[in-house]
Amino acid sequence: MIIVTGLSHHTADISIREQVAMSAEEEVDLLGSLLGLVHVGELFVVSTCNRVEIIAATVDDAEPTVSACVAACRAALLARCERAHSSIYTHRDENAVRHLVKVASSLDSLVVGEAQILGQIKQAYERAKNSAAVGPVLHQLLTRVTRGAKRVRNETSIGVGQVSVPSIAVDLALQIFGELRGRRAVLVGAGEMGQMVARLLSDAGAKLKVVGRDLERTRPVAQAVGGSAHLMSELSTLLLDAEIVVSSTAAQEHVITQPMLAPRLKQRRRANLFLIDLAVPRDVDPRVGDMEGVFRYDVDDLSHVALQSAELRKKEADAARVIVEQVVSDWQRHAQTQQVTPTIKALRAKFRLGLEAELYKSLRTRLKDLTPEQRTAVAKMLDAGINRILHGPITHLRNEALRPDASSEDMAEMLDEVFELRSIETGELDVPSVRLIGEGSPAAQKFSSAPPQDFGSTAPPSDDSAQTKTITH
Amino acid sequence: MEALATVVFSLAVVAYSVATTEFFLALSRPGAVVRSSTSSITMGVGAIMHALHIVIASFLLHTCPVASMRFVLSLAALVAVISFLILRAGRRIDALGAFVGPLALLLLISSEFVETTSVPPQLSRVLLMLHVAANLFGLGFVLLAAGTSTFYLVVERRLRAKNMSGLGRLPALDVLDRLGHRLLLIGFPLLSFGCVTGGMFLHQLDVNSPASLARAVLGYAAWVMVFVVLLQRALLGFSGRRSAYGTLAGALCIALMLMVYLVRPLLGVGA
Repeated sequence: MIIVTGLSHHTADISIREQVAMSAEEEVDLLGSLLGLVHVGELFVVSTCNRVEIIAATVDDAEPTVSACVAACRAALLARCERAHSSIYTHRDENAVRHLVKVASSLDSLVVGEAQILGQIKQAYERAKNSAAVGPVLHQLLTRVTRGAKRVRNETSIGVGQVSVPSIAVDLALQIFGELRGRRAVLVGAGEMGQMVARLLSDAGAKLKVVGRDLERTRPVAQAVGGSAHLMSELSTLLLDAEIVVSSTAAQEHVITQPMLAPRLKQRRRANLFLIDLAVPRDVDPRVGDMEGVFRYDVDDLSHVALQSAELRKKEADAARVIVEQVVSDWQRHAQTQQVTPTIKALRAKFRLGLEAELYKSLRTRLKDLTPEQRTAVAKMLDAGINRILHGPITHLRNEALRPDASSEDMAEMLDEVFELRSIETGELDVPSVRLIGEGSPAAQKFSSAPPQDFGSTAPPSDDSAQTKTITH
Repeated sequence: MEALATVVFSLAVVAYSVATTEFFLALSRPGAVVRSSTSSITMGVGAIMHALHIVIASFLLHTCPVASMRFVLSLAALVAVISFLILRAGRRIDALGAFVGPLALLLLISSEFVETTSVPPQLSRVLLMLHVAANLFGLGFVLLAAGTSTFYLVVERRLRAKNMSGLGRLPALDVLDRLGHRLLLIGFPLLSFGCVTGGMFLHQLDVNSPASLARAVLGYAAWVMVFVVLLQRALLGFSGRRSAYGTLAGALCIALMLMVYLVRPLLGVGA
């Protein structure tokens, strides 16, 4: 069973989250300590600034096992912060899968639609994979979760637009200029928001000039945003070739006025000018926005765009939830068909062993002169034949497992009895027999070099070996 | 052969229709960047079918495509489509597909209604081919420039209205402005050549039918519009909105000129 135990910005404030949050090394330590417990099959830990969650797959679905696993995960988190007791939540089974898909799709994020969380989950999974803490169950789960999250991003507009004022300002600049590399930007004043926008512009490749009343006080700001410092008296000259102007001064009068800009627009040959006015009271005369080639946005305008993006994302979240439910349903189908997988494997093995035994006799007598290549061909033919014979029954069995009134267990039991599947050794399931293809053949070498836990024993079956490891249902 | 021409024509129409629908669907996702590789591939398939149709139809009619006005509409659309597919590489202008797709569809279908006329013996066949080739390339580029101008005005309006909802994210203003300018720069010499040779032909043939005169007037008007846009841009730095309106006015003249070609057989007016 899949379990998610953790806390997030919904349930815990920053003072708790910062204590529970862990570094990559601490994550690996936690994986090691939890994996040592008998009821924890596979797990990985997602730790970001907004959430810490342990995603685990138990060794079986029995209630005591699941409860023990949940308790161990809670204890691991509480060990980092005792105050987190009431903040920790647990999701099980389909609710756990649903939660994980929502998290990966950023439906559960502080800023809905943010793109980082999926990458953070993938990184957490990779760390767990490197620590051998994850296996086929979580691999299958994460594959579906990732696919679902990508669908949410591609098929809905949940990630479109920006929701913070500085990022909206830069996004609008991109909508005007296409790219910002080499664009000439001017920061007027040293307001905090203005500096944030300037930093984003600088990161995008814009060339910055910072204008202030006092050169000594302007220089540190210019250094911080990677630009050069200039005096306010130079502003009208700088406006001649500026393409983006960010203004956030504490001035009570307009810093950029229509009479100041009008003659410069002609000199600029009407090249586009984007004015971002972050000051209150406003630095840029509102009439400037009516001039050709000038785009003026003040704080209210930027907030309005932010609101539009947030509303759009909210609308898209409904469409995203449909995809989330599809992923959950897909996982449930997968989990249901997994119930009959041991029977299917045993059935294949039974057929293989029976046919191999007969063929082995022939290979020692009438067919003893076959070359290794011919033996490989015979082994392949054997596999193909088994697949062809069992295709119908296996499909039927899987379909039965998907029915709500599943009679797959009855069918599996019946097959067990008819074919005596309980006596089949799991190690004999998927490996071409060395007896058939020859010890020295490339195919035999390939399979004999594979890890035993992946491919099982390559030794010829014997009556004794069937006693060592049996399929359980 | 005729059946094959019909098949490739139908395939081109279907491919353009599908691509157009895909572009509009991509455009209708509010706020999302309009990037649609599948629709561009579909449009590429349409362009291949379109080109095949022109080749097969010209064999059937025993006419060189660039020596016949019948194919001008169709070839101009093909030039616009191919130019768009080339230009979209490295630029975020996929949204323009929502203009180019319907345009290609309209011109491809319209071309079927244009009558095939034989070349008057007094005209130089080589010069006529050059005239038609220059005109169809010029038309293709100016029509594409009109598309970029339309999108420029839409994006500018959205930015001024401070309302980003409703449509997908369109190409940036500067990208559209520069692209439109470049397309006009390429198209203008071709249009100029077309106008000069067209004037020569009119003089040689001494044609004075209303349809021919209307075509000539509209052709020259389009040329003047494009010339004024480029001149103002070079001398006065007029770009953006003014350039866009000028380009659209030129494209409108071209559209009217093409309409004359279309309605001429319907009205029974001679060349």
